[in-house]
Amino acid sequence: MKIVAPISQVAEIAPLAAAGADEFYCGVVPPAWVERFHNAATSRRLFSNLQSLDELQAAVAAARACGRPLSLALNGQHYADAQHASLLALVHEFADMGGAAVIIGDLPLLAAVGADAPPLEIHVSSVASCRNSGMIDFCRGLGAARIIYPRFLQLREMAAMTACAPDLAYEAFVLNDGCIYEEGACHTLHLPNHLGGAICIDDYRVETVRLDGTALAAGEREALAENDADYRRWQWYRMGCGSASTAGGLPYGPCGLCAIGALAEAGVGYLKIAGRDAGSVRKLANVRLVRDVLVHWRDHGAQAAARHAQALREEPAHCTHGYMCYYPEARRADAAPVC
Amino acid sequence: MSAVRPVPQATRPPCHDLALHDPRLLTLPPEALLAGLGSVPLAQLRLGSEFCERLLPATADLERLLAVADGLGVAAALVTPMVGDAGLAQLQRLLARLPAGSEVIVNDWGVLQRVADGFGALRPVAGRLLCKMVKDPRLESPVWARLYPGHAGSAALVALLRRFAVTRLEMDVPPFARAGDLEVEGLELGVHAEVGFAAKGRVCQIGSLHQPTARKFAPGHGCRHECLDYLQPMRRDSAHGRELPTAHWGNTLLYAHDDGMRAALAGAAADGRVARVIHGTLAL
Repeated sequence: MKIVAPISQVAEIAPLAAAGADEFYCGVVPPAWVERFHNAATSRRLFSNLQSLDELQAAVAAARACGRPLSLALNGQHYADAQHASLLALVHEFADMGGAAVIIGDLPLLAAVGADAPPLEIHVSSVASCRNSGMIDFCRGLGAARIIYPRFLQLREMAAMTACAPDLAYEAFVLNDGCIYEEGACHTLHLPNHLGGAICIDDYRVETVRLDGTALAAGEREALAENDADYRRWQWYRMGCGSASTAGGLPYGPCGLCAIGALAEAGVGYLKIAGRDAGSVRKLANVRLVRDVLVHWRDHGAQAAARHAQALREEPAHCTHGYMCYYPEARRADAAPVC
Repeated sequence: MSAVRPVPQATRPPCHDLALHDPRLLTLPPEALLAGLGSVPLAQLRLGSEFCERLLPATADLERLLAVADGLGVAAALVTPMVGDAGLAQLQRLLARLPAGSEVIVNDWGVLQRVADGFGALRPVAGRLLCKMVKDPRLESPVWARLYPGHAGSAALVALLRRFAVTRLEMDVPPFARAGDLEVEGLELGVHAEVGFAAKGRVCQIGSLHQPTARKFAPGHGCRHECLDYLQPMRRDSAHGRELPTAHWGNTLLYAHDDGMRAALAGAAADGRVARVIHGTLAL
């Protein structure tokens, strides 16, 4: 299994490769794009991107010097036709630089890039919400070589999908990023904080009413309040436990480390670390954490690796609670077998 | 894939469809069922969720839809959500029961693939989850959304949909929409009235209400269809003025239209750009 790590600066590549990253991905916002379209939306993330084609070229060179491929995220949910032409040109420029793959989330763009057949791989972003074997067939028909599974998939679902199309490669989240909605079906913006920030953590007061217009019974109100409190706790875990870390600097946040063995059994070959916007120190800690557990899995098996991962966390409650888990069924004794 | 059907352009007033959010509504007498439409004539009755595979109709509910629609003298359509493989299998069993020529509203590219693969007698319609654009109900001006153009008017989207025999694309009215924003070239256009969706997830807060704590909010968690009994209106204390009414309904964040958005839809319909107006039975 390979570790796929995000970068937002060229200088991050060498240390992350040394720490154990096998592949990299990044975004770029060329000045010509900004001048023409007045935004930074070449990819889903508006920030933490390389700022020029020269920088992108340097990143490709740095990755190749480490023997690692670099993928370019062009994973916006939607683009206008005029943007397609610019993106296709960017794909070809990236291929000419020696880039390995483009990561695409907009299906019309996927069709356009696939038809253009540039000399690099097409990876389907989690933003495309590939949740069933029909969608895998759809994407393969458009030229996809790798599927990046979206969040909130069960391991057995991945296994079934992968079995339907074993000729493709599969990537799944292993660390970070707390999007609580379907990434490809969230049509809100991460506004500046003074305008509310991300809608999922905005300052909303939520009430619950019955659709039949009747008043809530006392027992209902209590159950709803308890559920709301659990939901807020779950949201806290999804948002990285307040971006906290262990005393040793290992990051908390959404995690699939216990499931590395199960992911391998499910046909997943690539482990995605999310978070282009994380600082370099956190990125390094992320890669070291995943590499440590991966080696433990290889040397001692899945169960030992899961215990090792939980021990590294130094906070057993975070793991036993389950809300921090990408794949909670991997830890539950009563979980159905993956395959 | 089926042959591409000719695409009729909207040159007359739009038809009106009623989308039922709850199969229990099918037991209502017709006058109660259609009360919300007023004097608007009904063309199609729809059942099914766009947002959640846990709400895939039971076979009996689908049969009841077909019977009620037949009794009303209107067409019936099945609305389908994003699904996993288990949902896809269940959905294919439902699709097999639809009469030839029935429309199926598709919100998942994998479902579209399967409809093309095995249900050539059905007429796929691209649902609003396939028509992506910025729809943040908190936006204070149209500038934000215009910085990030959606692909509703995209020739690339239309071309891709037509490869799969889709003849109509459905969309929401986004905040600050103008009549001219509601237009598609090369496909018929359907537009949802009164309520749009801003985001949806697979995890459902209200759907976890009766789940044990350890299983709440987990991928693929079960539920008791609590969303058919509850709605969660939301309000920001920090709102800066104009803000659309917003509510969580199950796993979906909904917003209600304001007068400007209603005028945009009315204008687009008057201009002949809208073939279908889809009315829901859930009000915020």
